[in-house]
Amino acid sequence: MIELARVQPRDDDRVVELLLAGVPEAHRLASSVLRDPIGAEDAVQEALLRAWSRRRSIRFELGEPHRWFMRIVLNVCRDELRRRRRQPVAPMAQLVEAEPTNAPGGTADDGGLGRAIGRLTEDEQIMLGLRFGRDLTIPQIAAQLSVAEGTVKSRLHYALEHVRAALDAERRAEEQKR
Amino acid sequence: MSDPDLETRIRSYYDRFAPDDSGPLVAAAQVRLEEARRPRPTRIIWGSLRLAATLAAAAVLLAVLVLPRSGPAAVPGSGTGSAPAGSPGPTFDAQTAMSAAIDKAGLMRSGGIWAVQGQYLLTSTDNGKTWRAGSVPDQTGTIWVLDPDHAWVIDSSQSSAAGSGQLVVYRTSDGGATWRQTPVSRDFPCDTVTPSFVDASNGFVMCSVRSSSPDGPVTAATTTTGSGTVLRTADGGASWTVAGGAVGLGSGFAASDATTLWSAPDPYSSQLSGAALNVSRDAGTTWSRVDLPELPPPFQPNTAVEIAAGPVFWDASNGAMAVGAYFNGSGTPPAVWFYRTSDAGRSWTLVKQPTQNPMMGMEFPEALAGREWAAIWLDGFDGMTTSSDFGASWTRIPWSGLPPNSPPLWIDYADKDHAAATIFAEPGRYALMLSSDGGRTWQPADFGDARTKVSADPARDEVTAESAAEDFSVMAVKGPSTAWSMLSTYSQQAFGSEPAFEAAEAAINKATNYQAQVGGATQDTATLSESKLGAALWTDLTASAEMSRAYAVVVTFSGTSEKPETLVVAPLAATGEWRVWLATMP
Repeated sequence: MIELARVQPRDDDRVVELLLAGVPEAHRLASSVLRDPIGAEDAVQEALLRAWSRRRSIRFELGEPHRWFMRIVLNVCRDELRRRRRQPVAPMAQLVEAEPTNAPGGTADDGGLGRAIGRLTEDEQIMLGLRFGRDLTIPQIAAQLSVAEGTVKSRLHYALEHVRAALDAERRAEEQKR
Repeated sequence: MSDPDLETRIRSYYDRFAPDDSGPLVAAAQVRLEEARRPRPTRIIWGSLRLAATLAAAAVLLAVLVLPRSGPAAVPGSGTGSAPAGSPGPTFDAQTAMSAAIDKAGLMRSGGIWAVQGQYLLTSTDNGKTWRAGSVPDQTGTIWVLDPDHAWVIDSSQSSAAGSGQLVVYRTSDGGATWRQTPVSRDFPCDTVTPSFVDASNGFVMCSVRSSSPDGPVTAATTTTGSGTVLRTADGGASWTVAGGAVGLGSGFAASDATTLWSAPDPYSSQLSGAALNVSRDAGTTWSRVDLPELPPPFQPNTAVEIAAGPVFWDASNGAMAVGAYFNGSGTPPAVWFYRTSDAGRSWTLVKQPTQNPMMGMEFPEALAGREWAAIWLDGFDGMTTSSDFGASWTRIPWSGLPPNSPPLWIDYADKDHAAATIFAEPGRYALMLSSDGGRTWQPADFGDARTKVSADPARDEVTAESAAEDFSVMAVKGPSTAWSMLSTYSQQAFGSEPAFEAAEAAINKATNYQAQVGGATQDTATLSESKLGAALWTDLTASAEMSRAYAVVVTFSGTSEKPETLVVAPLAATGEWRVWLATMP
């Protein structure tokens, strides 16, 4: 009987309302983090179903259901980023030859940024997506990720350092090729 | 955090991924959710799903309520970790910590700890030994606690970056037993409120706007400068006036006395870059910049400087703060300068150059406390580095009893021995931890029975509360109001809140495919016996519970092969606190 304690069937209306209201923000969030329109839509759908199946853990009284849903969205995105990372990596030569657009987030005119960001850890990619894609402030990111503001600041700092390092490496590789 | 070139490039790169239209996705989501909520075709499947959920939830309940006393062992996936090697002390146990679940916590200006748990405001002036409970009128508002009697809650939910709207200020002078409210209409933008009260009469609220808000970007004007407006009260919050505007200010807001206010630019939205601490000595009407010696000048390429913590004042004269700087692109890690003042902020002295801190480069300091401890550096998962002389010298304090994989979100010292910290007991759930040995060992706060003295929901009609208690006949042994008080503690632990508990109770009453049979110990010894409950649970119960007041709820699942379950509800003999034990009938 305990499972009924959190959210009642009559609350399902409320859950649906909550989730639907969150879809646009979830869409923006997933687009920023994944940098891939199709992947972002898939992620939102997946997050919706995950959220629905866990709706009984929504705590309307204590917390912020909106943030709860966004956390699920980010978890789905993190899984997707991890999956991308696990995919077999093509040999370096092939990568350099290939059209830059074949990787999610990479486009011909981004100066290698897409690939550089794609090499960061999942958490760093999320951090950059929230800060520069979604344009959230440090306190907002801290609240969304449930980490301290100092942690956000230093993670952002190191994420930017790593982007810079990846761009430098890319540039050197280009120069060697010539 | 400004590396203008790279950041601008990254920002414009990300711009191209902003979705044009979420309409089709919303429509698709609607279809999906409608499919998901369609009832399952057969009742049996639905019943067994529910049963599975019941058992899972019951296991959690069991873990929460029983395991804390039988030791933290064997809680699968609970985040239980071991203390760092060589530091004997308590081991963090997520389930136990959940008994100290809170939403917010902090130190009262007058000293002592406050916490908000659901609808309760809890205060302690003896470092967590005893707690006093009141209610909070608005759980999502911004709370500010002066002392155990005086607190304010600002509801800014009807606020936004838009130029007009309303704030609601709630105030109590009896520890949350009663609240009065004042609506404050406004004609200035406001999406972040930061209160600061110096005594029971004099207080301020800083209304500020950041560069972007959850509701979307604000206007161009506020994006470039940020905006802060100071509201002032001299009658404890009954009436408010606009003291003045503080363009570009809003973060690091604090009042050190009834006329002296401090604030810093919001580094993410303001053009007033640099560690421009600003002060107002006329209660918020005019502001001027305070010079901080020896900082790198603002607007240097790739350097961002901001107030990292504070300023805090622990009396009218003495204060401290931390200023952080990032040197992007140089490979130099972030650094922090500590400043202190003893002349009410007329001058600030740099305590020591930051590079001399051995721990520099890990994280920014998360806290600055007064009196005994000046600075705390949360630099790892197994301890912190503290300074009792404003950063001149540092001591590494290994800790035990805190989560193994996440540092505290907030930590502060009431005195040199007593500290409080907020941690994640589980994802998204905060808990309050306390230390009485300078931060070396930590225990979850124990709020005791303070909450039972608060009416379950101040907004609720007393008659409704009584009838709800009467419905739950198992507990209604001492008369409705007492029963409800007892339930209050119990339901907080088991269900998180009274409304959730009520909902559960109503569901039980309406359920068709299981039945709850309820009986008291004295009337139902057949249920409460060793042979029925199993030796282990029986031993546990008789050792710790007051069995003469125990009640049993037998849950049977009609139409399934599942065994009945028994919930035993009884007070702990030692404390009288109600707990729940659960057994599957043999």
